[in-house]
Amino acid sequence: MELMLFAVFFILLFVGVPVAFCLGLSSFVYLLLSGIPLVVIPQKMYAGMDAFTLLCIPGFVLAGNLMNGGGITERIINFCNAFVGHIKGGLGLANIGSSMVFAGISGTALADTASIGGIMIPAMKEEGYEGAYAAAVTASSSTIGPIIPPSLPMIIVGTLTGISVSRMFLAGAIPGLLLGIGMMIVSYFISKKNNHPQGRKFTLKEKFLAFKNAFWALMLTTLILFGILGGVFTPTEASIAAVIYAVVVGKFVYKELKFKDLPKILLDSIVATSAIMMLVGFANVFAWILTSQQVPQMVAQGVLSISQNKIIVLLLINLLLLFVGTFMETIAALVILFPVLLEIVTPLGIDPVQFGVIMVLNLIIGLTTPPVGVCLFVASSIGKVSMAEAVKAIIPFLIVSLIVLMMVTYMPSISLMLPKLILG
Amino acid sequence: MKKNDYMAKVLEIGAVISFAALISVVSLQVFARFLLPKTPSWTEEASRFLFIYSVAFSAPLALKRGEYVKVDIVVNKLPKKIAKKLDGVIYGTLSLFFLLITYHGYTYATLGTTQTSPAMELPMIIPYSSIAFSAIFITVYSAKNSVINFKKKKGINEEVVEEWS
Repeated sequence: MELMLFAVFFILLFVGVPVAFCLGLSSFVYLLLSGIPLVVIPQKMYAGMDAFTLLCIPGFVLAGNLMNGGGITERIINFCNAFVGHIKGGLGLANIGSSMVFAGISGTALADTASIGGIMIPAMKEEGYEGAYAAAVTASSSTIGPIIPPSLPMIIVGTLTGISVSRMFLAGAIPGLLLGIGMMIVSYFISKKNNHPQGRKFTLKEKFLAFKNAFWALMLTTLILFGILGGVFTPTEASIAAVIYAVVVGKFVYKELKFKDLPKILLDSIVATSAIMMLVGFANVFAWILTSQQVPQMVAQGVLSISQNKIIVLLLINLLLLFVGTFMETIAALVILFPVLLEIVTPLGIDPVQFGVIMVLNLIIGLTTPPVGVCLFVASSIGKVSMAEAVKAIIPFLIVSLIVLMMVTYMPSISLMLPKLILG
Repeated sequence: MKKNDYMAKVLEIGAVISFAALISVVSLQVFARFLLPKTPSWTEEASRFLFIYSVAFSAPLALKRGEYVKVDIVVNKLPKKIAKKLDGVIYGTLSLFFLLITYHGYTYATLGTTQTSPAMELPMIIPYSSIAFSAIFITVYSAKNSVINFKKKKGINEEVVEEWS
């Protein structure tokens, strides 16, 4: 019976039904056949959506959109370029650096790909970089977005487990930095080999000017991070503080944001959020069926009967998640699989915070791989290169992500050190 | 098509107003905690309800704009004509599904007639109704989408959206 639930889900998924509705329809078929009252659909949808922590999603989406409308993205890119542009392959490095800074504002990878790629990919091509390389650097570095706080997937993990979102955010910080540094090293060596151009050296005065221009943008990242880490704000409050800050800076300091554009930006942000929330709602119905049928326990028993070795079980889970991540939407995969897999790893003594980071890392890797890989798809269409070329160019960066994944999986302190240090 | 525009306008206005109200309420909460002696007890609850309603207003618009993520690797391999028919079937099914959710959402909402929320003492039928409310409009948009896919020469989703705006 539970197998049928998954079968219906996958058939609908590959026929082209939006993921959120695949979850809803397959749950509906299951409930109908088991004779469970259908009123549980609206009931569990409501229960899944009614959480204060989820409120930070529209806030961070809106803050990211406001930043774009306010011309802040360009300033961040200029700032990074002023410091690393003169190195060989400097624009590639600046691209990764900007993604890391931008990651501190927005919480999704796709937003980073679109906003940074829109400026960076044409600029890189003009300077003589291969289009495929430009697309690959943009797509892979944008996946740092959901690892460095604030992060939508981490908010979902926090909501699912009751772990504080701040703790999840902190756990992602060091892995995010490792990804960024690793990608910078790889891109430097590729640029050396392919003889990519280097920009001119900026004078100290120019560097200061670039810093001054980007100052208010960089302060936003600081405000969000330290506001949450210092316990001044809850993540939801921080997201709203970021919105107000972005409006004030965009309007009065950079003077590029117009008040008459605000309703449209508000609308775009909440509509994008609502698509995520419908997914969360229907995924909650689906997950409720799994829990009520004790599927997590059955799966856990099955896996643990094969092996109880921590290293092997984690390896198997990583392989499964990498596979799932290649075609499944990140948030849907989290809501459905996180409770199931947590059941397996908890008896092995793995911290749920660490496991949350492992799971998010696995799933975001799929954002840049075929067949679905939305980030790579968007980046390659901005760069006007074929998906096949872009896939070839992204392989070195994928290896970096896999190495970081292995480190986070087998060295718990990478994710757990910072939350322990700051939150106790 | 005029009537349809009107419906979208109403949803858009509802979404923007409830989202703006949500931002104001959370701002008030932050402001109160730092500058007022006491934080109001209703802000957390009010912001949750406002969020639920801003999602309820926006979810049908998200369908209209084609913002729901889907896997199209298989569908892209099909001939355009068949893919279009398939989309017609999918949206037709979805409109029936959401009609059903509207009905059960209504049943669910009536469960809230006797309950009130802890902080604001608001009847729970108000937040509970959000599901049925949103489902009605999703039903309408799915049905429109289905009909357009069956009738017109153009097939893929983006063009359907164009046709509406």
